[in-house]
Amino acid sequence: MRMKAFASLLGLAALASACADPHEGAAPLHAEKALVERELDGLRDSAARLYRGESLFPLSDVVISIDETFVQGLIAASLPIDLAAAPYRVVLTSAEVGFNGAPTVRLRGTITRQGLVNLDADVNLIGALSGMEIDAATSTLRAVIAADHLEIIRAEGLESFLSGSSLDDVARLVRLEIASQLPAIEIPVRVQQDIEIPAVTDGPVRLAGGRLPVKASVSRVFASDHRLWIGLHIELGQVAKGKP
Amino acid sequence: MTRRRIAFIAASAVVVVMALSALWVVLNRSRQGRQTTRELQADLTTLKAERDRLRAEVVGAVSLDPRLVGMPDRPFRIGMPTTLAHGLVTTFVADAADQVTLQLGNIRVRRHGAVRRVIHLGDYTLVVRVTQVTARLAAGAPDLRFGGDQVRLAMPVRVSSGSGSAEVDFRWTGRKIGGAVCGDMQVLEVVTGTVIPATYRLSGTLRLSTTDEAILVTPRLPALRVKVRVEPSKESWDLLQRTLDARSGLCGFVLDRVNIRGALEGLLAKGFDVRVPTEKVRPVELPVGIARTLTVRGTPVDLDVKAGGLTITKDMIWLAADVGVSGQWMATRSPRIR
Repeated sequence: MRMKAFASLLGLAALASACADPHEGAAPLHAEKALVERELDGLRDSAARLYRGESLFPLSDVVISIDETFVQGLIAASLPIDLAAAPYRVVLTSAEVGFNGAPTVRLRGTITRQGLVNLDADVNLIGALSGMEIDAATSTLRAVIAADHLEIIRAEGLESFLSGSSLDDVARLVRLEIASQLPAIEIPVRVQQDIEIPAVTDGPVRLAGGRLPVKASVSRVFASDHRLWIGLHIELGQVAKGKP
Repeated sequence: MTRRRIAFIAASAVVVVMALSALWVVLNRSRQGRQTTRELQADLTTLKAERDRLRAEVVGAVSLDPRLVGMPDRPFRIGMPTTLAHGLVTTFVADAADQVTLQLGNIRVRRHGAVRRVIHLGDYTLVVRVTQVTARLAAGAPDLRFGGDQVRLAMPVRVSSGSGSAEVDFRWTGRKIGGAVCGDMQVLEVVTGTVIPATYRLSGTLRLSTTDEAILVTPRLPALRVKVRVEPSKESWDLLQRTLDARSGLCGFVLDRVNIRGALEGLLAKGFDVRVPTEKVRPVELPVGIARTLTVRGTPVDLDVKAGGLTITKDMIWLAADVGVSGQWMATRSPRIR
């Protein structure tokens, strides 16, 4: 009898091991991989320049260097970020940046779904500052947060019975929906669009005055040693005459 | 247990098993092509090794970049290469100088006297009025030398082109025999000419300083005095000469004695002194600085900016600052995100 019970237990164990999910615990690894790949993209770009014997920035460009803590504060100032991906709702409430290779951003919050199948879980959005440009309207630098990966961390209720793969599918769909809704981040670097030559209109010496247009563009963005590095290419154009 | 109940339980069990099987099939399909946990771990180990190697290379390259050596230790730094500053200042100064015109007008020289030949023949008044002189300035390539917190500047400034016009008004009142022979006479002529180019050297310094937001370039230039000389055109001289030559006899004698042409030549030869008010050149901000406000999701937010001063190295001019989102604004935010 005992032998029969032991054999049954062995059989159950074998069955359990045969059915063990090879994807168990993969979700956080996917998130980590997304982060490392983003960092590697930035690092490979920088390394390629170095291997070609080039400088990290074009020699004549303005160099801007900003501590990651400050940028983290800027993103935190945008929180909470409330995003809709019907029938889901994502609310991001905390931000963490890591500037070592690429300006990566990790936003944490919750995802909920109300309806026949409820969902209430924590989320971890992995991304990076991207598309750095000079905003013509405000004359400041701005970037968007590119969403590389969304991880649904802990599910409660009925959805806790869903496999990790199913949650991954939900996460992927939600990430695609919310990617364009993430707010732009303004970096407080002012780039004047022109330099005024003030007019002198009295006395024997007259200065017509005018505006010297400044052509500026972002030439390079990378992150290293907990700092964000931005290169700006600046050129002065032909003077546009003002009224004397 | 009735047979009917047994059949119901059996049917239910079959439905549950079919549903679970369907779910299993769906899950397996969705997993196809996905890495297993073990594969992911292996990938991550490889990727992290590459990342750590490249990180060290890039950090090393940053620390060895000569332009970044000696940069200030502040959270927020903006570095302007001295080569770029040189280019910007050169372009700005040259373009500003090219906008300068010198305008003179209504300069009047009056001479009067009497002409005698044994007896008093008459009195004359000669007025030469420079109605207008316009000259343009042009700057040559400035020589800029960076040192400390200032840039020494030496630059040729050229009075490059221009024109002028003067009105010659000669009036003669004849007396006694002079009045009987020549009568009263007036010669009114306009003489035009061009400005004679001349080059001057402007030397001074451009002081570099910072405000909370920007690098400021303040010119300290001594007043520049230029002399504008005008040379009448050959056509103008010829016209004046023809007018004078048309008078003969006593009238011609009078005009010769007064030497109208000589008087005009003398006035123009002295030139016109003009002081270029270099003190009016205002400080100029270099075009990249720190914004004091920014917009967070449509709301303007003040920043606390504490300037960290100016650092000038061999290759760079650095503006450094401590910058933070205003504490007052953050205090208005939801406590859970602070």
